Amino acid sequence: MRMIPAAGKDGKTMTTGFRASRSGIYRWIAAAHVAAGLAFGPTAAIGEHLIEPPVFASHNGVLDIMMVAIAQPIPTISFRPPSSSTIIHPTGWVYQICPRPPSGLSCPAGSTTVSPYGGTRLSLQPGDTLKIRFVNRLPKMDPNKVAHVTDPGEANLYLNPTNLHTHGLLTPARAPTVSDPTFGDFTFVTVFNSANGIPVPQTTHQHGPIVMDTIDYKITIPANHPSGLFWFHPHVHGIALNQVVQGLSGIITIGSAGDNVRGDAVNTPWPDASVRHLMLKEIQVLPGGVISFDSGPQPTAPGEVLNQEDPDFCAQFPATGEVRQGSCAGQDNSADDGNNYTGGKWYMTVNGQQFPTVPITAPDGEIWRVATGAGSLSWDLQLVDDATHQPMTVQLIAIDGVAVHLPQDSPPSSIVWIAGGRFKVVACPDAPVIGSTLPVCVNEIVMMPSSRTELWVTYRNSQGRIVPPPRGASGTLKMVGLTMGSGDSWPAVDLAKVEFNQAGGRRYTSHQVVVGSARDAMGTHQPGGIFTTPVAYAATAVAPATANTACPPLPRGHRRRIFFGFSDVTTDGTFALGYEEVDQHSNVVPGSQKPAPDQLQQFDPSVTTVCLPLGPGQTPVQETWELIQLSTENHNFHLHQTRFVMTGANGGVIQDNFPLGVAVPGRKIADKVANDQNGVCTIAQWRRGECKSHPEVFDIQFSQLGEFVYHCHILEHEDGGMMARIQVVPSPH
Amino acid sequence: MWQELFLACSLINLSCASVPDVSIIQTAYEVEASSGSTLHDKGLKVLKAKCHHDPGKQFLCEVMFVSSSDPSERLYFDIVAVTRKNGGWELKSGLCKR
Repeated sequence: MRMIPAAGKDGKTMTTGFRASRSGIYRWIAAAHVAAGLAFGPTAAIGEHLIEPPVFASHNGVLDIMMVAIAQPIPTISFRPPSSSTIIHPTGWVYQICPRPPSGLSCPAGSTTVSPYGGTRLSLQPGDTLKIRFVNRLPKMDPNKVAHVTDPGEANLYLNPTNLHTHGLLTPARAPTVSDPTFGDFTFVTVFNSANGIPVPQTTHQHGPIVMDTIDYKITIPANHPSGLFWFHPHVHGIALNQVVQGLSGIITIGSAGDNVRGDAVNTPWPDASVRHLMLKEIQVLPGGVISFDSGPQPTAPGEVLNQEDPDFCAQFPATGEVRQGSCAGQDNSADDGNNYTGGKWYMTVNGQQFPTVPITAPDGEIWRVATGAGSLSWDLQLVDDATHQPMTVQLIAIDGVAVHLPQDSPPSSIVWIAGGRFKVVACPDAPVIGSTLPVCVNEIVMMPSSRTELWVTYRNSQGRIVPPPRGASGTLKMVGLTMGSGDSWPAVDLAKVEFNQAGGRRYTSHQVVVGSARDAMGTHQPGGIFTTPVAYAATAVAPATANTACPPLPRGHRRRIFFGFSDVTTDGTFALGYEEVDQHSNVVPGSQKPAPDQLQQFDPSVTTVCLPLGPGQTPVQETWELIQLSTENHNFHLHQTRFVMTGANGGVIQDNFPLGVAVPGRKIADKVANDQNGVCTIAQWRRGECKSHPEVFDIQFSQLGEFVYHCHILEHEDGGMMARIQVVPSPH
Repeated sequence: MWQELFLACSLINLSCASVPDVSIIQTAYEVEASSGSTLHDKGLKVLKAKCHHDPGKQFLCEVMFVSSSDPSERLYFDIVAVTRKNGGWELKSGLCKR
């Protein structure tokens, strides 16, 4: 691991394994400051300058760390409960990270250990190995406050098992063996904290391997892995929402932003000094009193975190004159049979800070790499000019960690289609086409759970032109509020103040940044790219004994069809997926339907729904998948260990999650669906044409072996069962 | 109760294991698997076991094992409930590849 010993702008020598920032984007922080932040991380008040997440960087191809999931107060959130003058720092669950010590299962006190609620960044390079000694020290939960603890086989969830997923990385989903007892990105394992008790064996519906206290991960990053922005988070079915919204997530970067971005004035990589990482998180803090959970009314303490998350915690939009800087006030829903959250607060933070100030001083502006650690909430973001109150134009650089590539002959608005309506596209004034990629500008960005967005942010006038900022120019990064079809409504909150103090001449840019390189989305499909090169480690991998019969390749012209709905539409919350194979004539292949014709199934980790081999010579395989939305609320498709591109899309927007639109029941069944079917159509209704749903069709490249999952990344839906297991095995040829 | 049993074993010079171990769990598994129990997956070989006394008068054992027919020697991890029965040991929950 690189200890980052270099001197920073202030001339201080770092002795720690991470770096942070202040008014410039980067600065080295003194060890003493880090030590002060050891227990709780930095404290901050509203309006303080945004601090970069601490960084652990690889060295000589390895990043070897210990990561301990712990509970600790969040110093950057100061909650005053009603009828009390005492300030409470709510308890978050965070990753305490340090260089791996020679022994033991705890990080040492000192400057090399960090545990920020806002998240840590793991900085990796293609070809690296990420080694993590992972330890669970989370407290157990009140079983009466855990939604799925009464689901079949899930009685141990309250013991708070956890694990780790490196979201978006193209890396093996490897189970341990006698010769290599480490885990790859294997999300079925559950690590229990022995201090919470030993889990009692269940008979059904259990997760994968059950391990006490600690496991070792070894995540190998292929040498031809594209550069980009990714993230890590827990992935235990049933409580993923609880753990993510209580704080467990962080950032992963492969390579640097400059790998895929350069200015249009000079042909040099974008400087790291003008790159900012923003991790958006949200957490609901209760006022205390009785709150209704699935189990019934339960007492709660002032300052307690509601880790089940309730979209109705706040009013969606502020009342006249109400200012929401990094939080919104809890509301009383008791008139609608909901909870009374009066006196509580829903905090929405950037890098753990409440409404920080982002000073943009570089004449060329900054690259913002935005990730979300939200559980079920989708962000609808705008950077609004404080003078004009109009959304400002920014240039879109990357989606889900991969640079946007739009060929010259495609209209910029096509990004809206191929990215699932995530952006509002506007003109990039004065920006000519350079190279083969069309510049794309946007002024509104929707980020569903797990998505990432990278932007070039510099001052622009109301026409979107880049001009020197007037004195005192500022903007506000806003979550403007979003409603998900017939589903949840997420509130509007101001996230950060942005100050434009860009004096001096620009060095890198004239009108735009230029996006694209051999290490971006298109590069993955070029010779030597990760989707065109034989998978080296597969040549020596041992195929499961049943692989030849249970894992046939998808016949040419066939596609897999995935349904998103409920296993029982008459029972709310039975989130589930259905599966069938379709031939080249769009006929369903007999016997392919799982769990049964026209049925959907909630997640069962013992059932592998899809199994496929790599191609002859252990080459990556491309399949076509068709996604059918049966719900009248949005879902967000995510598939581990790969990424996908919309079939027929003229461009290289390769994503690892995709927002699905909503189903539209026809007039004949609309009332029935709304009133008797919890807003969800059945497959039969869809087949009869009574429920309209536009199929989303994707080309998906499989290049990594192992057992993993595809699911809706709205974590309430994933925990509820909208997930299925998939396996990729070596080719027998 | 267990302490009394172990004391009794020592007094009458019986070899009574105080806590289940790898060989005890493997033996109990093989007896049950060979009798056609559907509780367990077939052909498993226990490599490691660490048992904890549970208030429910049984032991909860962390078990690491492999499948004998698996050439990759993939490791599986499970928690198994183990209890005394007729002077021997019985697995009260399934030993499953997961």
